[in-house]
Amino acid sequence: MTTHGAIALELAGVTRLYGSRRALHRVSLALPAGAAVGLLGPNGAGKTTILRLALGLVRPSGGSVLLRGRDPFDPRAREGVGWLPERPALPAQMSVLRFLRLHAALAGLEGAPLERDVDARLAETGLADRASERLGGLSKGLAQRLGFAQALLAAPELLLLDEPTSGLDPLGIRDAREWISAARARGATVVVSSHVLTEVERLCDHVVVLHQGRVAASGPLDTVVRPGESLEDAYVRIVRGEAPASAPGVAS
Amino acid sequence: MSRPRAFRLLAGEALRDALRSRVGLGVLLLALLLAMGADRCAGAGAGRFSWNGRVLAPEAAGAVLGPLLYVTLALALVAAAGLVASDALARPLEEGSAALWLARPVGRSTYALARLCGALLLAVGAAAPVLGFVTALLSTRFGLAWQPGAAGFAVFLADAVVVSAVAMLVSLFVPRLLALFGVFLWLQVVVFTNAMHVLGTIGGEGGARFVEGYGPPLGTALLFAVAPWVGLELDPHDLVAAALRLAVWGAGSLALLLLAFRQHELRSGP
Repeated sequence: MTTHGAIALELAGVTRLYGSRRALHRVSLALPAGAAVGLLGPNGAGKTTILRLALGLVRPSGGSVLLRGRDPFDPRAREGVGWLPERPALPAQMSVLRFLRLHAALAGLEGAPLERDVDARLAETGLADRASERLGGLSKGLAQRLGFAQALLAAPELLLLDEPTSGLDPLGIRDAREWISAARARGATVVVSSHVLTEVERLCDHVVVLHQGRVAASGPLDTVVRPGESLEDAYVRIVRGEAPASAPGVAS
Repeated sequence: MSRPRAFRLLAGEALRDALRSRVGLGVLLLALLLAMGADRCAGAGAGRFSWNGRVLAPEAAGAVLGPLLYVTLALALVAAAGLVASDALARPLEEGSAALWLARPVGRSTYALARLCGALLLAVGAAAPVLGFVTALLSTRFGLAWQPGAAGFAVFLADAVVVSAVAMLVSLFVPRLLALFGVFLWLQVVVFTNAMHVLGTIGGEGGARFVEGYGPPLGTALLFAVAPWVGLELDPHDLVAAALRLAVWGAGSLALLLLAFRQHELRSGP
């Protein structure tokens, strides 16, 4: 279960270089467990890099990352973590059902609970009648639904979503909102990297705005967004370099 | 989840992947062609070989043909194992699907070993019938003992582990095709040097002596295994040295693969 007051993801002075390009520059963040955090920023600001660092897929060039108190490279840190990448790369020859069963097993489920959870995710994401289809034949929208289904397997305590509504039609976007809200309702920590500010405003209670690899603003939504402002107004103001906001909750 | 369970699941999936890939199908086809070729080569039965007008006894003919056929096929299958392995880890990394599995509570070592295991299972599954078939042919047509064939298969397994691990390791750093080409070239150099050494034609200093002294005895160990077919007496020290060097290369190449994959960054893909 999520511990009240615990930190789900912590970055301390993290720098990440890709060759000579600096994707992140001394980024410090502490995302509280149970929160719904929107990661915002222009393309190339470092949002996806933060999620990949959190999952131990890449290493920081400097500083440290802790995922639920552990080094993300430690497989135990990734127990109870669901990830939806921006463009899920699915093994083309595998069937939808097999893909979900394998992910459910790797997430720690087995036997009847595994089958129940897989069936529930298939039904929830509208893929029940496509269970036997090959992944290579899925449309972008269906692949995104499947990505959601695998991320939601085994009721993750921490959900990392990279552009979750990408490729979804309006109904899919609405469904995605419901899946995220349901995860929040059961106490999961949700981190959403997105360009769709209205979705972030609707789903998240904290935001982190990244710009050129640095944290330009972070904190509870109502401290980052000024009275009378929309999140979009605040985002434009912050990214254009006007007075950065930072407040407790999401420490930076 | 437990590490053995994750390994089992991922190795099973790696085997399925290998079977579904063009590389895997190519290796299975190669195995079939090799078996058919072996049948034709060993089809020259008793009484058909002659030397200076004298008909050779089946055992004498088999003593020439047997080791040559067996070692050639085994080395072709070792190369095929390298081919499968060079694709087994590099492809999911290139496509991006590896990142999805590694975002689960799965260790890097578990994943890499499972991919290697899946590739090896396919290679061994293709090689076992071929080498078994050849041993049976040599036994029935030339009266050769089956034990050297069994020993040769054990050496094939060790060779396949070394070459597959090296191929997988190289594929982490260079494009798959280049990795494959490099590993094939390396395999040829090692085997040629081994053969020259066993035939006693290596002398003096230089690269060949270095390869023979420190490289994996991929060909040497195979030749040693089937030496009883030729009636060759081997020095036990040479046997132990070859076995030890092969074991060190096996453990070393696996350790290097795991170390390299632990440092590998999954930047591309999803």
